[in-house]
Amino acid sequence: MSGSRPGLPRWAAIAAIAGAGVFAAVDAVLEHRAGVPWYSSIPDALVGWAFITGGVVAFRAAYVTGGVVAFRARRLDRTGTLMTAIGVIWNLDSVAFYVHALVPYAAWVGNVTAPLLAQLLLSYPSRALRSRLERVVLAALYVQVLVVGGVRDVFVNLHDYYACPCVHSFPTVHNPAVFRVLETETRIAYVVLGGALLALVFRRWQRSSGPARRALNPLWFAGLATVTALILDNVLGFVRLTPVQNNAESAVVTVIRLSVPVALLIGLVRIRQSRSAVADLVLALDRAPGPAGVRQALASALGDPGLAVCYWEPDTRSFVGADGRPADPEPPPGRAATGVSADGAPLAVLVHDSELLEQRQLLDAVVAAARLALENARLQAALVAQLEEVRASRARIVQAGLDERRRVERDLHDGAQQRLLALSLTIAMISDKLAASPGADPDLTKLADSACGEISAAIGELRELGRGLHPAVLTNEGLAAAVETLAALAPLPVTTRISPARYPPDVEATTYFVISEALANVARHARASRAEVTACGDGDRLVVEVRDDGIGGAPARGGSGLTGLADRVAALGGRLTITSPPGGGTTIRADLPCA
Amino acid sequence: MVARVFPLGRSGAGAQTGTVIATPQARPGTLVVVDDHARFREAVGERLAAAGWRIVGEAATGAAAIDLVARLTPDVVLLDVVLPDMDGFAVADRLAAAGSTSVVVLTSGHERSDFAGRVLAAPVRGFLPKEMISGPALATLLAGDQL
Repeated sequence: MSGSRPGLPRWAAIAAIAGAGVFAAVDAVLEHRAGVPWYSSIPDALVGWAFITGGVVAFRAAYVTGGVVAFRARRLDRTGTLMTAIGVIWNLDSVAFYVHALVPYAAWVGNVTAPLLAQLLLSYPSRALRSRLERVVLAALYVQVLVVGGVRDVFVNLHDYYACPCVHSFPTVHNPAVFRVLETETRIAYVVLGGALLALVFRRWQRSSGPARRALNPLWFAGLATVTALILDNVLGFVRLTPVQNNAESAVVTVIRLSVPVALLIGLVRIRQSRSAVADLVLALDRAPGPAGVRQALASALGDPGLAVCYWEPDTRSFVGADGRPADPEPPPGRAATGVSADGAPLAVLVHDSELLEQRQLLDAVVAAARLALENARLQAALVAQLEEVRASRARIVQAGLDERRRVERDLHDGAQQRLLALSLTIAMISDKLAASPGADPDLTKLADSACGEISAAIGELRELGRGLHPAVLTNEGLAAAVETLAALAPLPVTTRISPARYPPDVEATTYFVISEALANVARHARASRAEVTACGDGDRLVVEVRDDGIGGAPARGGSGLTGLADRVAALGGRLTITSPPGGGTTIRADLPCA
Repeated sequence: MVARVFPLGRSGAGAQTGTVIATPQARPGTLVVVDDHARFREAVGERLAAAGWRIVGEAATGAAAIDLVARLTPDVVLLDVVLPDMDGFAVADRLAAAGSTSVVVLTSGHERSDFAGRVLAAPVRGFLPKEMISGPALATLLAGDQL
């Protein structure tokens, strides 16, 4: 899959790589003929020479090859340019050493590969440097190499310190103290800036995740190794090494430097491999339908386990998650949102690792493959959301009904009933006084007594009304005491086993009415000799059972009274079941959550 | 106004006699009525005054009742169970804890069974439903017969 960007054509890429190879081969031959020390230290057998030369050709060409390939891959043109620049400078530089007049400039320009490598590592894979600190470290490195290095290599006589045949174009300083100061400053600067670079690259690696990390890992590890090697190289510069040690050390550093383009190529192969994830995704979507399955399939295709899918709900103009609950598509730091639309209408938003933006092509392919499944999943999520809303509103309606009954009961008790009670005392007093006065009209006494009786009856009826709405004993003393009262009023023996614990008011009220209705049914239809009420709760649930030894055969829906109660139990998230085999008694069981 | 202390002369007694040690008694003495309904306090006051009780104070909240009973030490406190700030059981507990010698009789518009076994467990003489409050009923209760 070649990039479609206008860039390096295929022939230019091949020419660049071939050119680098030929150039490196020429260089190797020249080095051998010139008797460059680290070649001379190797036995001059033809096989050894060919092996070493082949290696050197590969080394010298590697950066250019890596750079060109990266340049042709999409979105890595910055990395490709930098890497190609390093390869070209390295090659030109080594050849320039054979022209004596160029040696000072070759020494100067050759060191530019260090800040170029730093820039490559800091700008990979996105093109931008992220922080001010990164820009400062990089700028310092460029200043060090271009300004300090330039002064040292061009204006200080190198011939005094290196056994190399160089000719300076300008009058030069022959002072060993100046050279030593510049040399020491350079080594310290490399160690310090190299350390800072290590820390910055490590931080970038740490902050990446998912598939990005998998593709970027090789280059970052190679980069870290190379920077570490260059730092050690400069630290070892303070130590006197034998020529053999010195050659071995520079060979090791060179091999480590080679790992950078190799790692880049491995990373590119991995990115290409991740594209086959789309094929796997199509299969996974087929196997795992539904909002949760779609999310799982997308998460594994994108290599981002934390992927969140927020579906657009056109009715409420809001986003919902796979569970139908409201979801927020606003990405937290380090994550990014990608919108998916179908026929111009918003469909969903994927909240994913922001590193995935570097793999736009993968993201686009995955989204395209999953669009139909996402559309289905959105409809399912919308359905779940509506169901959830209906469930919540049903619970609210039942709750409001219970609250209203409680309120009416309290108003009756505090208002009309208190007035009637006061009135009953007043009339009772009138009655007392009439009874105590000898000359009272007997009709008046009778009327007062009758009014007294009427008021007592009214108070009794009001009390019954209040009890039916919401029994005070339930509010005051809880389920156990309230059911005791019910049992005492029942026309057959009722045993109760109810823990004295308190439960949420709607749970207590609903279970109380279930027990009340069930006991009324026992009395009306069951022809039972006795009944038993049990209630046990464990903090999370309350389970109540009303059991009788009657004729059984009750309708499964339990008649209109219990049907209404079954609805109320269900609205609280519970279940009401009726077991009533003919001749085997009836058991009514309500199981309610108490959260 | 949540508490009211009647002038001592109101029912004709010369001096406060609330220091009488509260023992089961059938003879009317001093009384404090605690209820948040003013109209009801009034009706109870009239009815029991007619039966010979001296209503020395009224309170509409639990806190006012505790304060008033501590000051007046009535023979009997007629205490509504449902009060706006705390329930009658809590008031009775606080009075008992403070060492009050006044006899407490609970009353309510609810029935005794609406409070399950709590009446028996409370430091009170007994429970009198509101519509049954009368001189003889109170006397019977104080004489030791639970109604």
